[in-house]
Amino acid sequence: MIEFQRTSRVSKKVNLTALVDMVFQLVIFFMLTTSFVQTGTMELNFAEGEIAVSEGKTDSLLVRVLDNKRVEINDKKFTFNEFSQKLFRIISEKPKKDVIIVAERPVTVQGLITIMDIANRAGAINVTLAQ
Amino acid sequence: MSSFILTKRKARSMDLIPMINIVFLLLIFFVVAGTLERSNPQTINIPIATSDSFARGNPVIVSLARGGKISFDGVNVSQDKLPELLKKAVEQDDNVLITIRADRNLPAHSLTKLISIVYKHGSSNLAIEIEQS
Repeated sequence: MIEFQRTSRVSKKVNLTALVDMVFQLVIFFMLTTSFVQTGTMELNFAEGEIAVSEGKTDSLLVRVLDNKRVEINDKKFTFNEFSQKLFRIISEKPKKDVIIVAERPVTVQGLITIMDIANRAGAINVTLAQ
Repeated sequence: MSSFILTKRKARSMDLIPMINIVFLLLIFFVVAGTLERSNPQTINIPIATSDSFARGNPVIVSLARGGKISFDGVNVSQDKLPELLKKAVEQDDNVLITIRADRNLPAHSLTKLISIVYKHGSSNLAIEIEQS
């Protein structure tokens, strides 16, 4: 009878340390550089110089933003909420309404963007920023 | 003489597989769910809005940070140099979209001033970056 040589079984374990190190480094990199804030863009139309807007004659509505709470349309002052409701009403009556926005000195970028946002949501076709 | 009981030393190897699984899951989560932030020399809190209009074109970012600091495509520039850079950007690419990143706490007139410069020397294809709420 043939005799076979018996060899002791060596358990072959893969060394995972290098892999774990690398994956940890990748996790830390992505944690530090990833942003979960959803950003978008809003189109800007700009008009320079004086704009003559007269109600009734043109399809444009001039909105003067007085500060971060109030706007003025045709010499009447509104809060941002009132303005939102009024603009919805105006645009539902006359769908092709252009809105021209002029910001006064105390207004911040956020205040201006809020008004542009309201105009976009109300369905204004052209929202133009004027200086 | 007191005698000590000798115990066999066992090699204690931790089972790393569950940890590796979790770490891989975290890695996949960050890769899939997030977007890499653009490098910017200044921290800018962009304005919040709900509506989002899709602007077409190849974006070139002009940032306006607190204190009126302007950066063009991630590099700080002075206001005097901006027109030249804008002209170059428009010459190189007809389909350029000038995207403005402005801090939400800045006065609006500084934004309109920047827009006026961009409009004059750059492109009329303009957009402002917003954080969607």
